[in-house]
Amino acid sequence: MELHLNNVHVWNVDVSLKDKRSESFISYLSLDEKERASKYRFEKDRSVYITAKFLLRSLLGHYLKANPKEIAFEYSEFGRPSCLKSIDLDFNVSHSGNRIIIGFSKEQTIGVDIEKIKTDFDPLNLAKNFFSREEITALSQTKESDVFQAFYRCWTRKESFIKAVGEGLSYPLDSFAVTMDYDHKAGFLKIDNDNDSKKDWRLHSFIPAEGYIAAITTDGNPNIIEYFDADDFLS
Amino acid sequence: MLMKSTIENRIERLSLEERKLLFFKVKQFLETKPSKSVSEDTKRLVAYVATKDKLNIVQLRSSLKSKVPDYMIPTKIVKVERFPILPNGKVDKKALKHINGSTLVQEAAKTAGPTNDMERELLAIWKEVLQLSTIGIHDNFFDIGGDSLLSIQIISSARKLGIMLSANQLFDHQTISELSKSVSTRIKELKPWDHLVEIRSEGSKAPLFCLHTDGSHFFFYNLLAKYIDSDRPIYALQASSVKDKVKLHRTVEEMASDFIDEIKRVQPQGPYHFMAYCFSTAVGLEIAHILNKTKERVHYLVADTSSKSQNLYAISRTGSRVSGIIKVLLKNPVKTVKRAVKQRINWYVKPALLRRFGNEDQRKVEKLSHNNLKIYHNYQWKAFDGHLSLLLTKKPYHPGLNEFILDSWKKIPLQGLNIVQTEGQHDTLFSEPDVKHTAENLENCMQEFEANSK
Repeated sequence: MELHLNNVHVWNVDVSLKDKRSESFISYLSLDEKERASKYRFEKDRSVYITAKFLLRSLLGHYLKANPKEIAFEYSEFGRPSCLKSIDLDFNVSHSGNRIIIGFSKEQTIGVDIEKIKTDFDPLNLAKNFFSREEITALSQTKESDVFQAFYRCWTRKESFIKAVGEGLSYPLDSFAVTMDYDHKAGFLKIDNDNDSKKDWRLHSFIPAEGYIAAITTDGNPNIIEYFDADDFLS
Repeated sequence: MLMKSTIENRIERLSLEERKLLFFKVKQFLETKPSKSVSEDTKRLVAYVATKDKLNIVQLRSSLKSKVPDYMIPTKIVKVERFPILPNGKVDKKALKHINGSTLVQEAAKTAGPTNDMERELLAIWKEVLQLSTIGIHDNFFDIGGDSLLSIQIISSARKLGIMLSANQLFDHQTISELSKSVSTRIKELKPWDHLVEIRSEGSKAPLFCLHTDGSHFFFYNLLAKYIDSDRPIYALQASSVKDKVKLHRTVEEMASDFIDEIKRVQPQGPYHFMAYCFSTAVGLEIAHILNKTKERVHYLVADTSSKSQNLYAISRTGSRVSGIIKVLLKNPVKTVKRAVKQRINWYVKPALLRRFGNEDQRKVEKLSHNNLKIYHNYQWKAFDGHLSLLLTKKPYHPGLNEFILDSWKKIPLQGLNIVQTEGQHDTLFSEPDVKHTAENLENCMQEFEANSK
């Protein structure tokens, strides 16, 4: 699979099936990645981390025609990774629960976020604390039965955007607003920041699996977004 | 090469017990792995310790932690009476494997428990959000399953309890221990404030800071707590307490800087709302300036007071003819206002002060007020890059007064000036029944600012 200009590839994988295999993945990781892996308290977090790193390296190796073990990463001051070897290939990783997604795009900055849907918190309270006024209003007007879905649509879209911009939660969440009324229709209502509002940021949402929701932000409108299951790639 | 000598150094520093442990581990490792895959340490490291003495696994593990790299720390330490031996004298590893020892070391090393109230509170929040029954204060948030969504849940829960956390704080301090050190706690628990007075510290909205320059703030802002959105904290800032030695600032800039130090301890990030009334307009403007420098969002609310040192309302209590006063003021502002201040204190503040504190404090209040006037006189009024909300009464003491006040502020806020008409008169804005409307208007301005600001 080659990645053409203005195309986006999104790779999906369910880690629960790969439990045993994560032990062989670790040989692809760099020393500091191994060390970081060892710090996880819970085996499942460690396993997801190792698999995500392995998958990222393998895929980058594929797109850049390089040895996955030799890929070097650098991290911005906010922790956003990029690859030293490639200038025009951008990528972003996200995982939640048992699932990992990695988005790749050529020449367009990309941010992705996946979340496993939980219902053990108060979404409106979170929104009031962090989201923009438009989003708080929209969420307060949502039917109770739909409120978690709406919250997660909103959250994943916001998170994918701040990951694309590269500042993580340092970026003020209340300075931009996204839609949250439909699963597959996603867009920005406003972006206050002058620099960011000048770019053509686009949002896409998708449902990776039952009980999960994900979003992709790109700087520019992709021609096509292709979804792949990384299962085969991992075997 | 460097790595090798580091390891050798570390090994030399181990105790006999630890060396035995390490030796056994290496032995076991070499015996079970083919040499070419030595670099692929994918199995979990289990250490068996044969000792007749009591073995403190937790201590052993922490002591190892400081001596060897993380990946050499066994994940499981099992105490055995003795090693099962095979007929040929070698250790029977198969038999060893069947001995189930203690639980995972990571759980055994459990928890450095909380050492103070703040840590206790943060621990409770973390446990609830992360849904874990045991968390140590040195456990890293992300290592135990934290992510962005959970981090904002932690911040929300903390704010509900009056602990002001920002996202950056959590990212820069990823353990409860570090986080608690960086957090500004609820006012009561910290070292005494010089300037900040808590009216209400609970709430998740951006606080309202009420600026005041003498010690008589109690009479003005306390009732706000009744009518401002209960989810919004309210603080007052005073130039000096009248309980102890009076602090006289030499410049408005110095006062503003002191105020900001304390504001930032309760609220590290904007948007900031602060309100000036009567004699605190200069320090308010200077605060706006300082916050501008760090690109914070600033909302300055002014309750029925003009900029610059002409404050007409000190004299307004008796409803005297204001036009005459304006003439006098323009001729000799400081003297006129000084007199007015004294009058204000005599009419309004003095009886209340006497009731609460006595004569001594009255004098202090006067001293502070006069100092304030002096430093105001020297202050350079300038524009600031933010938004100003101006409350004007529906019943000004003189028809031209509202226009006069408005005019004095026109060029100051670069992001916009919002005018709101409110009930009551200048001196009754913060007392019943008018305080209800004042508070509602202030709250509406703040919400509008929060919604629209860049």
